Amino acid sequence: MRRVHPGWILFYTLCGLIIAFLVLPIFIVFPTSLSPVSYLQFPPKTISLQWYRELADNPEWLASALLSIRIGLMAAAISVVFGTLTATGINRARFRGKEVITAILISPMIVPVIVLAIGIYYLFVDWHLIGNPLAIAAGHAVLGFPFVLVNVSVAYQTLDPSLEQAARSMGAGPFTAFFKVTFPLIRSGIISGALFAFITSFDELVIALFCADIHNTTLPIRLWNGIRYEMTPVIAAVSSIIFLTYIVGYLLFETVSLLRLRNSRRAARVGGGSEGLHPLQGNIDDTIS
Amino acid sequence: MTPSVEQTGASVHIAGLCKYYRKVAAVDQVDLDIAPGEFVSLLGPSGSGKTTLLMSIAGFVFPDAGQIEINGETVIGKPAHKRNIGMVFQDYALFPHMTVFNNIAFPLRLRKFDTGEVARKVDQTLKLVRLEGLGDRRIEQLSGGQQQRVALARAIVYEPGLLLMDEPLGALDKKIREHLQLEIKNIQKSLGITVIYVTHDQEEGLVMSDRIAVMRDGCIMQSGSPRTIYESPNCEFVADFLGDSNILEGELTSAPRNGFATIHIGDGITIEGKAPASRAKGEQVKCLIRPECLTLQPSTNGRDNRDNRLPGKIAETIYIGQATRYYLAVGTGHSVCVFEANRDDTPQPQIGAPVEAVCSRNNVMVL
Repeated sequence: MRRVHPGWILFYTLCGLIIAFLVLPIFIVFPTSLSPVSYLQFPPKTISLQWYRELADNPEWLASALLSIRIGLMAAAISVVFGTLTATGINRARFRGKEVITAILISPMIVPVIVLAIGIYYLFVDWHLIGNPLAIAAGHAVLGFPFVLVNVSVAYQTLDPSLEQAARSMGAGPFTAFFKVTFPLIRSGIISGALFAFITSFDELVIALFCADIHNTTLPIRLWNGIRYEMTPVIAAVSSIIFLTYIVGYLLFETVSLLRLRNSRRAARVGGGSEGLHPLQGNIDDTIS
Repeated sequence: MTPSVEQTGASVHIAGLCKYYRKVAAVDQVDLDIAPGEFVSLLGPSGSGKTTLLMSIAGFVFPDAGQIEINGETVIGKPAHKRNIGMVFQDYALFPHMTVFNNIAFPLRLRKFDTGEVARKVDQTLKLVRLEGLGDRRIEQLSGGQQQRVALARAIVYEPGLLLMDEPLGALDKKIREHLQLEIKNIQKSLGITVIYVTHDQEEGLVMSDRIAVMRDGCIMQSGSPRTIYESPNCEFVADFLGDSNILEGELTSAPRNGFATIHIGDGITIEGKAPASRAKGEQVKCLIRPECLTLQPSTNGRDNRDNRLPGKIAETIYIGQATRYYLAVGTGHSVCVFEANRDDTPQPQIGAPVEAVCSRNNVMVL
């Protein structure tokens, strides 16, 4: 039999422990939500869906979830517009101190959220925007914006700057050149930036606590209140649902991108073997885009 | 398969063009006039300003002073997309998210051609660059040479009068490069399009151009036909940049008469060569002899005095396939290179053998 070096055993044990440490807490939530008792119990003695039923009976949770989704979408949209514009500007600019400006712009990633939240709170109190979902979204966009900026900047780094020049030389104005050539090529960066921005907003608590009022309770705020005042497994049930949604969403995303990749490879192979075909065939997607 | 497209080349007039980057002149007082249908190469080492000059014409670099006119109309201040110029980039700059067909159709669709017209023109141009049937390929499926053909097709399909090419063959193998040089030249001739072609490859410049403008430090050093540039360079830089050259320093021992003068290159060796009338007796000069103009013969110890003779010893021989390059030590401090075509009967002088490098006075140029 092949001898295994003891160092490898140690290595795999360590890796296993690290993974367990990172992942297990997530899996504790799920069994907890299945407990019939009215406090957090792990592991549960018996299994029941009682808390899920309670959740279904209580429309406030659904309202909070929808509000959080709405705010997340708005925050992602704001982040995408400003993040993409900023990344485009920085990518083209030829001035000294570019790095400094980039550092300032991505600083919301580093600055403690509580600091940002206090600043945003004072501003929004003055402007009478407390409780306005759009204002919460704007606050969240401060956090989401750096994700878009970073992702789009990375996309720009792999983009050949002469592509846009080529489009310009052929007669495309600056806007046409951007939307027909640059945009399709940085789109993946924009999409991943938008996803990060959405998720950041969706589970953001601190800014939401400062900017929301009694009528606008986002999902994280409702969870937070639940932990503080009730401590029932309803929280675990909600967390489990959120977690499952994330997993399903992630798997869907991966499947779709895998399928797209495979399709484009197949199209490439088919295209490769189709000498003499009329050039208009198989071009319809590209023609539109 | 002659194209039915009738294109007429644009004329280009450049005067006093300057572009500074932090007070360093990238383009320095450049004047250049290009006739319709002319193929002009901007030839020079990297950093000589040739790409900056090209990009100024394209509208991607904004000159600090001077004039650029295309077909008699100034383009200073006119944005790049309104200049109606075709451009081929060094790295092809093909749109990776579009097929070959859609890359070439891009400028036509911008010009609002209808679908049938687009298909007809793209097909015709694909034929012209010999890529029939590859319209639905994706860009990454093409070889480098094919990609360059697509880039060329895309730049000419909308029939611009002027085509700018920025080292378009730089990334290709020697064989493909030589092949494409001739093809580009043929397409250019058949379309009658004006081409400004940037290259640092002197051979490419010689093969393709009607006229070469040799650039250095932002200035055009000399502009003329490939033959003029090669055979009558006006300075040491141009002589040295194009082809191999022997530059010998010496003193004029006679005033130029009928275009010829004698030059003493030291150690009692005097040669005769073409000299401009502006030169005076006693002046220190440099003269150029191309290695292929020299032939080797066994030393005659001065008994033969029909031609210019440079007596010396073989210092080094380098075999380069079609020819052998001999380096001769002539007098004190001159190293003279001689090209001898390799034929079966060529005697191979040994290192250290006393020989003479011989050429006629027409092959010596006082710079």
